[in-house]
Amino acid sequence: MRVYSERTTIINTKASRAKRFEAHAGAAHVAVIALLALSLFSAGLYVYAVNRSAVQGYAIRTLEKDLKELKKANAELRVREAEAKSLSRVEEGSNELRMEKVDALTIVNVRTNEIASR
Amino acid sequence: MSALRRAIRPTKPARTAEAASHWRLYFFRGSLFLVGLVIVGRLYVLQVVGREKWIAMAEEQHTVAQALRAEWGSIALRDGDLAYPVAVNREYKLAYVIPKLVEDVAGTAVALSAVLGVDESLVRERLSDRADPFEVIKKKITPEEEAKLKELKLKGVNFLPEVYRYYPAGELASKVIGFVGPSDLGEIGIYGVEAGWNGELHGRDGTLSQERDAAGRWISLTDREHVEPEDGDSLVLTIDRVIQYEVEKILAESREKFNADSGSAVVLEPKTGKILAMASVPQFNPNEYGKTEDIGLFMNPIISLPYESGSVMKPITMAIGIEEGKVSPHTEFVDTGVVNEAGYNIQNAEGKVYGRSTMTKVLEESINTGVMYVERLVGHGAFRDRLRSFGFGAKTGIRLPAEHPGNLKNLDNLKSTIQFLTASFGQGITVTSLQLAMAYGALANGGVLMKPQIVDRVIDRDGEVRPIEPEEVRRVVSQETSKAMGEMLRSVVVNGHGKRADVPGYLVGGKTGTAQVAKSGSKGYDENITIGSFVGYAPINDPRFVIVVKFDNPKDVQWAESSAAPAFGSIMRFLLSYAKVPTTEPIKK
Repeated sequence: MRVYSERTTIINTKASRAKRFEAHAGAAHVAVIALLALSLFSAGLYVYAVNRSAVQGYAIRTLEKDLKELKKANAELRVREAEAKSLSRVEEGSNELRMEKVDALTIVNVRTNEIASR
Repeated sequence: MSALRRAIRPTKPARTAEAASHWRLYFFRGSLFLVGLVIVGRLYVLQVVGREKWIAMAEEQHTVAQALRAEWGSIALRDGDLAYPVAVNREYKLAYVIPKLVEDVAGTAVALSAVLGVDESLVRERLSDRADPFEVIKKKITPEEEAKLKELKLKGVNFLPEVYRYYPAGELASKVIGFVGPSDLGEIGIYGVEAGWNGELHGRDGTLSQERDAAGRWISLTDREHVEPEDGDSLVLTIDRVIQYEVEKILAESREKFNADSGSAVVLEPKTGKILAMASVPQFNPNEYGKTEDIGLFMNPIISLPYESGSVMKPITMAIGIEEGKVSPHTEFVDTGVVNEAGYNIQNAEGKVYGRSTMTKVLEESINTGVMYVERLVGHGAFRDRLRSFGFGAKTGIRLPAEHPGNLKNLDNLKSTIQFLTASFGQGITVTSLQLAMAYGALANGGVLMKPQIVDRVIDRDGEVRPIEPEEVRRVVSQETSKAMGEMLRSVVVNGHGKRADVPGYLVGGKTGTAQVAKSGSKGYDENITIGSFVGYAPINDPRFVIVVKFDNPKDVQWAESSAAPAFGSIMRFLLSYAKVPTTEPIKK
């Protein structure tokens, strides 16, 4: 007894082969375009990232240079401050202002918060 | 043989030609092989046998190593809660020319000479060699000079930054700080704290080693060795800048007044061992140390020049006698004015005789025979050991260069009684001013000897502060002995030769010493030269300051009570008011 079963029959004619080829070629075409687009996008992203990094690196370098200059200037100001505060200069100034040297010093210890009372 | 074979079989001349062809081929192959062998052999010799040699040569040609200089730490004095910088790094510009770029030699020479103050002929000489790539015109130019030169826009004239050590306070505490100078190993600290703490201050230089191309440019993509430099630590000294300044001023005025060769003073905090001032005159300017003619000025006499201290040693002898239980402040003895030992007569000053005297009076009148009496009671061995316990004959450990331990060698022989007798009043043994300060500091500090401290705190390159804690050395006398000595020293100032050291309103105690100076080149003492000292502390009831003042060869006065004692009084008066110490005694008007 012959048994019949459902089976997909692939009709392999020239026309059908051509159609299949076209379909595959179209899909490949889309894939290539997509890949190209992705590559271009990645490349663009990379260029942007590198450029940004370079710009920031340059900015950091500039700030480091400025910081170095400021530190130098600060150090120089400290030296000039020390020279200006030298006690020989202070003494010269007190002589010019005709200030009197105090011989006897009396220290008053204030024990309460009141400094004057009526 | 078939016709076909005959047809294809080469004829005799053809066979000969073929053989010749084969031979040429073999010869060619052989030659190639030989050449190849030679090449391979040469490669082997170059790359295997001579590998190390060629690598070394290439590295030498292509690798450049450069030292990365570490920044020196700074030194500061205490200024209240702040710090006053006294040794810093300062950038100066060096003016140089590239002669081959100079267009107008005469004009440039005139301009440089006018602005920098350099001899014009010297500048012309430096500009004359056109092939010379670099000539220094002047180092350490001022910002004003640099600005003027830049305005002139002279071709070939440029500037190079250089870092130098700079001392903004000039001569202030110069002998304590020292200076930095050149050496074979680069710049190092010479004298003072710069030398004693050179390791911490200098830090560690780094290196940068990288390959360069034929034109000398760095090749950035190759290996490089980079060791970061470690900057030095900064130091804040225990010295107070105001106290140091005032002490130096008083010393200079007194030295001039008494026409002394030199003077020195050290101020100490007895409870901590911190040095508040360490001054000596004459001084030098560390910014111009090269111009100092007498290099002896670089030495710090307070630690480096021991001397026979004279009568300032008597309180130490007395403290030893009290501590040993042999005498008390009220113990009496009879002074006959002279002690005879080993054929020598040892007298009191000016040949005076005091008769029955207490130990307190021995110090008040500075009786030589009285301290010799104490020394005999103590015994030579115990006396020598106690002196060593007070720190004499050994370095104090202050960590400054060239510290001298003094000399107690005359006490090595216990049988040499005369050495011990003279040592009891400070002759025949040598001590430094710092040792005296620390010994009196022990008397002021309840009997505990402290280690002298010159650095208060260290600030490392990251800004972390490490304070240095005071260090006890040992107990040398009991609290009771310390108290008794305080009262005796007060009595010296009130009733004895120390009156001019007194400060109204305070309990000041101390002792004068007018020491003889040994003759150089022969035995005995020079009658015309003395060293006048005063050592003391105040307030006796709660000592805050110990001071040692010393004048070498004061010519216009004879005794220390007229030279060192009043200078001591001036310094102590200043210190007590500067520290706002309340008075404890009524002030007589």
